[in-house]
Amino acid sequence: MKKDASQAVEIQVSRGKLIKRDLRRNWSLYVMALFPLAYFIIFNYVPMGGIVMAFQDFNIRKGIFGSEFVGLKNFIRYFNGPNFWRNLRNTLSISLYGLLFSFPFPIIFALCLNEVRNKYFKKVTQTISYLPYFISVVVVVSILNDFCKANGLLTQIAAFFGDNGGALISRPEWFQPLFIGSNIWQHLGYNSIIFISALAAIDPELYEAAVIDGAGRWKQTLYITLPGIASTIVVLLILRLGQIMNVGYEKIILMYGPSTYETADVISSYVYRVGIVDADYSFSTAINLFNSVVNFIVLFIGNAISRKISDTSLW
Amino acid sequence: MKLKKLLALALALVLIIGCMAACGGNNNSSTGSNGNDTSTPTSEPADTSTPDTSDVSEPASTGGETTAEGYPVSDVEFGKVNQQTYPIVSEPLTLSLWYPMAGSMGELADFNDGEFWQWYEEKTGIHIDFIVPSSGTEGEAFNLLFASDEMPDMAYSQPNAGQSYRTGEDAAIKEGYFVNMMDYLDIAPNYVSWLNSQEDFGRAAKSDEGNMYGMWGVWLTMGDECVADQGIAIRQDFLDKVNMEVPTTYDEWETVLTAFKDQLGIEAPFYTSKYGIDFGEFMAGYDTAPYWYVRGNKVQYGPLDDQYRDYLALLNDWWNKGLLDKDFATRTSTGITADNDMMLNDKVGSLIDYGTRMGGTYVTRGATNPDFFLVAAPQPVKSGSDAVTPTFRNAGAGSDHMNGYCMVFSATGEHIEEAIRWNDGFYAEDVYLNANYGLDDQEGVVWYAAEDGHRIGEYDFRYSNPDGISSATVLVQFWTKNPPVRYEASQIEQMVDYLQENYQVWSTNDPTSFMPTRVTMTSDENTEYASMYPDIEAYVQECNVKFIMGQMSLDDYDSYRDTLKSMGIEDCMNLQQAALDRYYAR
Repeated sequence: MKKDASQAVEIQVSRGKLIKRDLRRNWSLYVMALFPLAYFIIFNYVPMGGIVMAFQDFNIRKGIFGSEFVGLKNFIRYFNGPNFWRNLRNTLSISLYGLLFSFPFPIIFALCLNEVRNKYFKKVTQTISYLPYFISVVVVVSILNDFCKANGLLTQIAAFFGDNGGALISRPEWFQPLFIGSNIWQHLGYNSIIFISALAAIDPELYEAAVIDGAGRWKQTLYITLPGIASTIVVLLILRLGQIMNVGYEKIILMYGPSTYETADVISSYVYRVGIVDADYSFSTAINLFNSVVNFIVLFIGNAISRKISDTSLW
Repeated sequence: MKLKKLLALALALVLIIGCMAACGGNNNSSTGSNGNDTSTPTSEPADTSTPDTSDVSEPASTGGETTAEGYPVSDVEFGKVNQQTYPIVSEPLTLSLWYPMAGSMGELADFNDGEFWQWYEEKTGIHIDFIVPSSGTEGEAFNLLFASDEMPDMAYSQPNAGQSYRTGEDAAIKEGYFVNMMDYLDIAPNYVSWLNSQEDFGRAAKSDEGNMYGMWGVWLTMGDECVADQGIAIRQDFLDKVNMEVPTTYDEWETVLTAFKDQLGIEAPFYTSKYGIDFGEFMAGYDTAPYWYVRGNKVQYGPLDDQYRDYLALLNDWWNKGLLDKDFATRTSTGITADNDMMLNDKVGSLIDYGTRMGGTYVTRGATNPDFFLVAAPQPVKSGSDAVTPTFRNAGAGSDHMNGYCMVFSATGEHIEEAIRWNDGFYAEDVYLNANYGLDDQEGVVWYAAEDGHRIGEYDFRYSNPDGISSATVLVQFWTKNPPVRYEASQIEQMVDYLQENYQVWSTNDPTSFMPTRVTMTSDENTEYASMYPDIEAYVQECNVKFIMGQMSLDDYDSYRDTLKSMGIEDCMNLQQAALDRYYAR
């Protein structure tokens, strides 16, 4: 026992020394880490105190400490209100369809690019594919608007295939396909970068061995490439799950109109209208808090599932 | 190994970005807390003995007497004599002014480049730092003033255009954002002269609780009735081509619009706003109105009317026949500004527009067709025995002699008195003439004197400026846009005759159903109303579009009305009615 304890002390001492040595050697890294740490504390943790507004009848002049507490009134108002189910349905469907369609595309794109042997062609394709990422969303939406007006290109193409409902942009059934489709177009190249770098990390010897064993291109992809980037895919997928309820309001409010509210109005765009346009801070905080709680639950479940079926998880 | 490190770095980056995105939502909702201020509200008048104000000269004493309305008695009427003494300050002073006029800056980079503002700065000794929110976001920007603790000394806001405190003007005063103007009337003698001499204005300027939100803008009408400055406009050159007259009934309208479409191939024979309905000009012939209106002292809500349903049925029919703008639902403008590409390239047959854009003015704005000519059309009525005289049109500016703007003063500002005196000058004749028509020494250039001596703007100077300055820029470079005392005549009288006639056409019917703009609710009422009505209005706008485009069937109109009721429209109506009753009782 005594011996054990002294050993532990020794280890602790050496661990303490290690930490000291580490600090001395890598002090510049720790200083650099301080800034992001401060960023998160100041911009993400401190404002969390504002959540209390969701349970108050918040008045700017009285402030967080002076406003009257109203319990769950704001939540009840939202759940009983006319917008709750529609917002929830649209948020989930835009997000899930988005995940379903836009998540595999960068992977497939990266795999295809990986098979291309001509380096010049590869570089050019990759550069072109992530150019749209740098276009402002405002510009993307105005392009989309022009293409989908009554006389726009896409509307004309749809009409050619027998569609006669008029401007695509003002029809509720077209909102989500256009929203998700343009997202894929804009983010395809940029999102594939991480997969391309994951692909590059796979040991070439594995491929050589597979070729000797007689594996063709397809088998190589199936048994070497995909397992090689599986952990990257899973981590990214979990992260995406954590944002399942976060549909960015910027693009939505640029794209929607009274005729498409039905399929376009999501929780975040409603929060924008209530909070910024109508200045109803308590109500909008309550809605957003609800949103974040659902997000957290989905992230938690997703992570648990992933830990069960594979070795990869966030925590 | 290097690649693995790179991959790890990339993954870490994604993690961080992901976290930022995930938490971003919280930031949005809690920004309100950053600007929260727990300091005690100061609705008391500021101490007048601060060093800065010691040089301020005293205005003519009013002797403490008050009128029945509670305003100081004044000898001067309609601001004929300027009772402020100038300069207002002996030391140069800069005041900040929130001025939501981005849409009318023309080519000016700063309003201080305007001649009037330079002249007024020289006169008062006060430099103005203009804070101009970007066009289209004025309402949001105004809301943020309360949340950000960056309240300017003054804000020239339009309370009925969304630039108002959420729980009402009384609350804004009680909570210490703006001064109660009632406490400062003794240093605003010019403004007081208007309160006393323009009866309806004086009555409307106070809230039901007896507070005064700020210094309200005056609308000086030409005659007894206020003239409409916007209305239905139709292309005369198109009418000539199809050999038709300006339509007066809905049936005639349909014939004309059909001819525009079939014979001339016009894309949008009738151009509507993104909400499908207009401001009431076109629909009033159906004996209803866009939102709130008054019939026999009773508040009504248009969408609940059968007539409103019938009007939507008409628009739905026109939509199916291709007479409406096919892209109306996705136009960005909520007001009456038409899409440039559509207007300038002969794609619009008729629309709601301003009087100043009638005739051939679009040619100077870049219309491709030199024959472009807009004329006013009267409010249409139904044919035959069904005809109802329209009683509604947008009279938002002009009712109660209010011009829709209100200068509010920050209660926490350091120079409240100077700001009020500065603004009070605008209510005196020598200043408001310059603000409306151009400076005194510009006679013969910017304006000329009529036989009876009153000023009239030079039409050619504004609309075909010798230096090639655009008409929008002339307005702000030599005059001011919507000054606190606004002459209705200033923009109308200068017009050539045929353009003046347009205003007569639009003003034929009195807007007797128009809800007075100065109906005010108490803070509690406002809170209740604000928790219900924005959702209702958004729903109405959505359903209008759907009924017109046929996405919703008009057979379901009753269930739509039931939905409105379940959303609380009847409670809203009761609140409006109570406020209106109090208004009539003032």
